[in-house]
Amino acid sequence: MIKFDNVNLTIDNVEILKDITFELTKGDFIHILGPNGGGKTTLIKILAEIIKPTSGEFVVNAKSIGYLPQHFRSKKAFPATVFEVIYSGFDKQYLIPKLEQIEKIDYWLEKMRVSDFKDKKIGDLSGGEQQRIFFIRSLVKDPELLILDEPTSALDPNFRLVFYDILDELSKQGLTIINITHDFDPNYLSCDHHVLYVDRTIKFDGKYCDYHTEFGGEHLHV
Amino acid sequence: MSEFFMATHIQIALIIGVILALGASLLSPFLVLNGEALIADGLAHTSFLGFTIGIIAMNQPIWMAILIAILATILIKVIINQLGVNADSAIGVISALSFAIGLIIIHKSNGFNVSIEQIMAGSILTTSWTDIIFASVIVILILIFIFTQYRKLFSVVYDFEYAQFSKIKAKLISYILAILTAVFIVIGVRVIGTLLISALIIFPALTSSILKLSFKKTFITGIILSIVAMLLGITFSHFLDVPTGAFVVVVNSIILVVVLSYSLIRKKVLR
Repeated sequence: MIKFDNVNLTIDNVEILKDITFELTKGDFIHILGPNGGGKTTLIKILAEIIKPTSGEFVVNAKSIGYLPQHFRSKKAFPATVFEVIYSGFDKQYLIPKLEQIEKIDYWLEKMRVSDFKDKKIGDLSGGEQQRIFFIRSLVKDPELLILDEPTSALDPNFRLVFYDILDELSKQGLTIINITHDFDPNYLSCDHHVLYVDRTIKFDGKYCDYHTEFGGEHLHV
Repeated sequence: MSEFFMATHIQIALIIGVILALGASLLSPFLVLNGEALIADGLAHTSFLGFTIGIIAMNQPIWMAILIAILATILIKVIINQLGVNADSAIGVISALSFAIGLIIIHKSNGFNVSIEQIMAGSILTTSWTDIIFASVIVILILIFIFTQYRKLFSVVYDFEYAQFSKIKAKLISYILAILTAVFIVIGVRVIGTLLISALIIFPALTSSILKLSFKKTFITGIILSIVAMLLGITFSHFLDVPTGAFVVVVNSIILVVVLSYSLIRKKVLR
């Protein structure tokens, strides 16, 4: 589904990414780990064709991509309701939303335990609540590929477990998930999860268990 | 009172006033809530350069003013997107530079007998039918663009990065919006002047967003308030014998204060 072959990015003579080569198949659930400034977010911007690489080739076979941005701070005074923000996630939007779209939004609000906020102003919600709303926005279009950039940074530990269960469920249904994260705790990640450790170049590509065995605690302080 | 509404120049003023209030309030939330509230003021000053060159070079200066304003708005967008400069600074630089070049051209041109006030002030009471046609065409284009792209515009203004990931041609949409805005402002400057066109863009979204409504309701409320302020402004300025454009701004400010007071009182009562 996704193939990167020797992709490089240099900006103003600074090497941002070097020799990025990896492959993902449909339904893969990959966690991209790495230090701050290591090029994780840049990598997904290349994948979404927002940034052009300096050299190398890549193929992404996904008709639609769901995306949850990193540290998104809602414009506090922006006059938008939770429903309007989520609705902006649909590929097809109508001046009057369709019933099945409303039902889908209600389903996910319930699942993410934020049903009471549907008509509230998004700027009035806490960081964690907003993160759940933006996650729903990334999902409602039924994407083939879901890209999450630090999706749990504002979530409390209990809800993180629920969140990772939901991701596992979606992955089993065939959704390909790329999760940029600092969560490397075994409580959250499963042994067979695919891990990519990126620090300007790929320093590890394999199963989470092997990553743990190979590096122990070495790379864990990201 | 009936004589007032029967006078042709008043009828034309009311028609053009409503058309421009509608156009400005359609654009307002997508500019003001995107941190580009000063774009109207900036482009109005840029159009001064266009009108100046146009008056010297051709019979129809408005076309040159439209061309210069479009180039300026594209330049502003490029500065914001490529250099990461914030919107206000980019608008300020291009606006000041355009105005400065316009002044130099006037200074160096012998026989330039049009005053800056004539170019920049405008007068709603001396509007021609040609101005109404020009304004109607651009407002209809804005109307079509906003109603066909409403949802995408919401995404672009609310979360540009997300819009880019969603493959909705976020940059193209923001450039089309900027170009329509530029053309609208040039026509607005000619008809009602810099002060009023700038105010017409800022007030609708600013006033209606205080009410903490949804985006859709904020959008509709802004349109209604803008048109009401325009009609009251034109009507009462006549009876109070004060400049029309200036009084429309005063009426908009009064509505802003009323809405703000209502919002504060409601907040206290709900506590």
